[in-house]
Amino acid sequence: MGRHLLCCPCMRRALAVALLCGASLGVAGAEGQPAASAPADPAPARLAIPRLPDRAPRTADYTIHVEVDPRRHTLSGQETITWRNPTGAATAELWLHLYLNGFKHGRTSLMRERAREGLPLAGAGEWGSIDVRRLRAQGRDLTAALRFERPDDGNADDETVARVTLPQPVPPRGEVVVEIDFTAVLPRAQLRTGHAGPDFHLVAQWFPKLGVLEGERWICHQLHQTSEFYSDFGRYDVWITVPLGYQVAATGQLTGRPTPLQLDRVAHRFEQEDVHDFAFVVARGLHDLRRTYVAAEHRDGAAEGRLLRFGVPPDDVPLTDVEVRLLVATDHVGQADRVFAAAFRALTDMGYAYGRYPYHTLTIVDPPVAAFAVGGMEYPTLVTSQSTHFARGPEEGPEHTVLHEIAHQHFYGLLASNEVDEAWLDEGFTNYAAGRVLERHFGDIPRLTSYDGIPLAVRPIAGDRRSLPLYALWRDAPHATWARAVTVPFVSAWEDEVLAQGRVDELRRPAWAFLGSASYSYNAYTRPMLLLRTLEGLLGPDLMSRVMRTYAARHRFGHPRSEDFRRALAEAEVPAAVSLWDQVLGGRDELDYAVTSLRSERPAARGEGPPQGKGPANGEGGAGSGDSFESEVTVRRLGDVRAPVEVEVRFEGGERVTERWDGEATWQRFRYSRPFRVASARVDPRGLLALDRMASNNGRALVLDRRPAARHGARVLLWLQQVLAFAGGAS
Amino acid sequence: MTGLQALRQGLQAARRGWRYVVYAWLLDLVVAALVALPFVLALDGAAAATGGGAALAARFDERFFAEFAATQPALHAHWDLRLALCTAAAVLLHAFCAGGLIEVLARRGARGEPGPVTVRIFLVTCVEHASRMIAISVLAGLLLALLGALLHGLIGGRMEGWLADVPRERTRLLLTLAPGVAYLLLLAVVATWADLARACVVLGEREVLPALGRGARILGRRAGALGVMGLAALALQLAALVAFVGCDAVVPQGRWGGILLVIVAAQGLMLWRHGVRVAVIAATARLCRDDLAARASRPTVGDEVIAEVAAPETP
Repeated sequence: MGRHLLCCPCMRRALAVALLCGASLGVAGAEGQPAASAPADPAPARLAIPRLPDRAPRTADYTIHVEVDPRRHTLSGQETITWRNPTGAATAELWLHLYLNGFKHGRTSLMRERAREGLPLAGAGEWGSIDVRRLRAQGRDLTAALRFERPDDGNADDETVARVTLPQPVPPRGEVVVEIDFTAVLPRAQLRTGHAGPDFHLVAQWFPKLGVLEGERWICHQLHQTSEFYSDFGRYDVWITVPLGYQVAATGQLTGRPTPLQLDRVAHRFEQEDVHDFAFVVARGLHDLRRTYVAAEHRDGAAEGRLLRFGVPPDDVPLTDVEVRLLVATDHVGQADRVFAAAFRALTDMGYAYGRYPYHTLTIVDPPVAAFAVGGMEYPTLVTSQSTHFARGPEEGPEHTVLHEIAHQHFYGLLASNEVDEAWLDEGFTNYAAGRVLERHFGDIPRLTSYDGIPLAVRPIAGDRRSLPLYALWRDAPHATWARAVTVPFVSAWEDEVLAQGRVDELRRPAWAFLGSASYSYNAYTRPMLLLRTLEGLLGPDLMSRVMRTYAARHRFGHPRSEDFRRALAEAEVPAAVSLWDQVLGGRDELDYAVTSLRSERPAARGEGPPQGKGPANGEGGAGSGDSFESEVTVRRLGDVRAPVEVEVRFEGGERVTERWDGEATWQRFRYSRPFRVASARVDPRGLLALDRMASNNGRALVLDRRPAARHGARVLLWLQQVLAFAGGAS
Repeated sequence: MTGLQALRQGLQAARRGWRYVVYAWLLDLVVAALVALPFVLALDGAAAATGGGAALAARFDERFFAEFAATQPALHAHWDLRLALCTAAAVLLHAFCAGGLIEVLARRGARGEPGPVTVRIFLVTCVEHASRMIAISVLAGLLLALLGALLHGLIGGRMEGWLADVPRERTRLLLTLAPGVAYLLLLAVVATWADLARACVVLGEREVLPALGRGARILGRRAGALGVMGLAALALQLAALVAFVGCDAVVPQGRWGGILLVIVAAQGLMLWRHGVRVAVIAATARLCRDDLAARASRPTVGDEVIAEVAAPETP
């Protein structure tokens, strides 16, 4: 059937229905509720991919002069904020984030949450804080009018949000200029910011920053253990003064050459438009490597052709050059090529998928080991990597983190969703995007962990370090004998989390309101990634790419919400996908289909005739014949989430039948009359339903296979023998 | 006698007394099988009918095992306790057998007694020395626990603070590993001391405390030889382990042939491991006897001369 037949949406729907009917007819012996819909893969319909906007709205511009004292880990700054009211209502208030006050003492909301999680608090001399010394606006000194607010939890000891009432309201689209003098102390490196001695400072969330006014309400959340950030786009012009001999890397482009000042100090000026945050690094002794990402050298003709086929405006197809800078600790300098390679892959694949990276610079900081806690974080045009000295294999080490953080340049940076109220919109999409590139270019990811306390590998001591001397010996030693060649597909790397955290919380809730970090992690990172994978399974890769591109282009330089993605998804006209979205976003339900029973008998053996009214399953005859087998395959929906699903049935003669079930009923039984017995049945044989909670119940075979128990049982036995022999010899 | 000579003689003794190596292997196998059996049965119940047997056997499917663990809560309940009981049982059984092993491998061989040692004789000597052997094992276990607690008290919890300002990752890793290595060294010393004490009990001292004292003195005097012997034994164990790992890595295990081959290789590894352990016991006893004989030849230690150990050694 030619593509021209599918240009009309109603034609595609008719075709889908016809296919479904065909599928149902092919299973004339099916019991249960009739199939209503099935996975469809229609061509694009109402999805119209818009042009990529060139500029972000200039809602909040910041000009900051800051002086850093690396020995005392202090900042002293003067800040001018120009804020334009983007709403249709006047406001007489400004709300400010003072994030560093989250590190002020053990009673802040952040520290209470860390204590609840059993995480270490800061030690003596390791706390951080920020102090507004002066605040002026509309010609008045408003310092005394500053009030701390606790909109999230009412914790009176938390000072991470402040509100100031202006003398005059700011009218819709009006403007106010706020001047702030502040001092700050950076905490010991933890949770996205801080120092690791005098030689490394990641200066992030460091200045008084405005919240986001939505309607008549300021969105300005406190700092929490699991929450991140949300702010408006604007222009940042930041002068950073540091002692001579320090390296500075920051959001945006360095303007001019660093300016020497008195007392052996140097001022670096960085500017960047169309961003919504600013972070920088002050360090000594890092290797400073720079390479240019030349877009022409990374052209992907197939990807460009696909974009044009999707209707992407031709001007939006090509990528642009980017100056990539890597600041890397000596321990990891040998991984520089890998970091650049991953970054270039990300710029290419994600640029084609979600729109080109629009900035001229990208800075990657691989912090030294003492600052490991600030690794793996994203800020506009600046990300921190996270790796280990021993990570030299091609599929581990810095690649995953670099891909993830660069994916955040799209899902956080350019699509500046509210990371606090809808954390999943940035982390989940990022996880999905990074996983796709990781799979395509770097393969499975290593997975070395434990099973019921049995150490599978050396992670507790050495992490995933395959290049350790005799690593293979460690890994394969009988005490760790299960760990041999354990790599897992990206999509199933979080199975433990899925099993432990399912049904604990709804996906869509404020980041600090989850039961704990594990539930947050599951619902912000894992579950949405699995949801997007499953949507891709239902839509097909091309249609999913169109949906993602539409969403990304439509909301670039904006503040998208869940509803915005749903809208793009609905335009793909696959009801099952929208239904799945609504089910997963709306509750805690899980998806789990299972083959629960398999029977294959000759009718004579049971003393029965062939099932009346069911007829031959495949029209090949044989029903009622003494030579045929009557077979039954029962598939159950064990979870509450419903999705169309395929069931593959194999017969001993080699025949393979694929059934399609809409998955709505709680069970479905398929009957066959064939000359051969059913050998096995598998639900979702192509693994399209990534959300499926249990993969181990997806298949069932008629003939038992003892090999897994023999192989793995023997290994457990060997492991136990080793323990006993060791204990017997040791005492 | 050097450490290597002692180990060579120990290996010869183990070869001659191969049946005791088999007994030790069987003992461990039975205890381990008792613990592993519920797991294997449950695994078979979960995996046999999935239709993906070959793939599950060919590699470790972490997702499957994660789900298996989640659906079998009873199977891994009190796992630590079961493992501890199992370990305690192994310690007691090994200690019970130690007296008989030393008797048949070192003392009777030294006396040149003709004919094979029957299982009955072996068991009788095991029973004869059992209480003292177990007492030594218990004392050694307590000492190891005490040393572990001390090490943990000195280092545990402080390590992170100490490492906070170490700039190089490699240095941090080595420092992180250091307590573990230190404890393994302590464990080796205590285990050797316990072996010497057991040998002394069988070879002459009868009582536990004097035997521990004598063992400590021998440990001090022959530290070099004992260290060389221990390292050589460790090398033999590692060589077998490398061979097993190689076999395990090369053999495709999605088929019965491969699975059975690796099972045989694994049990061969365990047999070898017990053989080396028996050889170390015999070698330690010979070093001990050698030392006692040397002391017995001095006129000042006449009271401590043991008739048996003073007898000439027979090849």
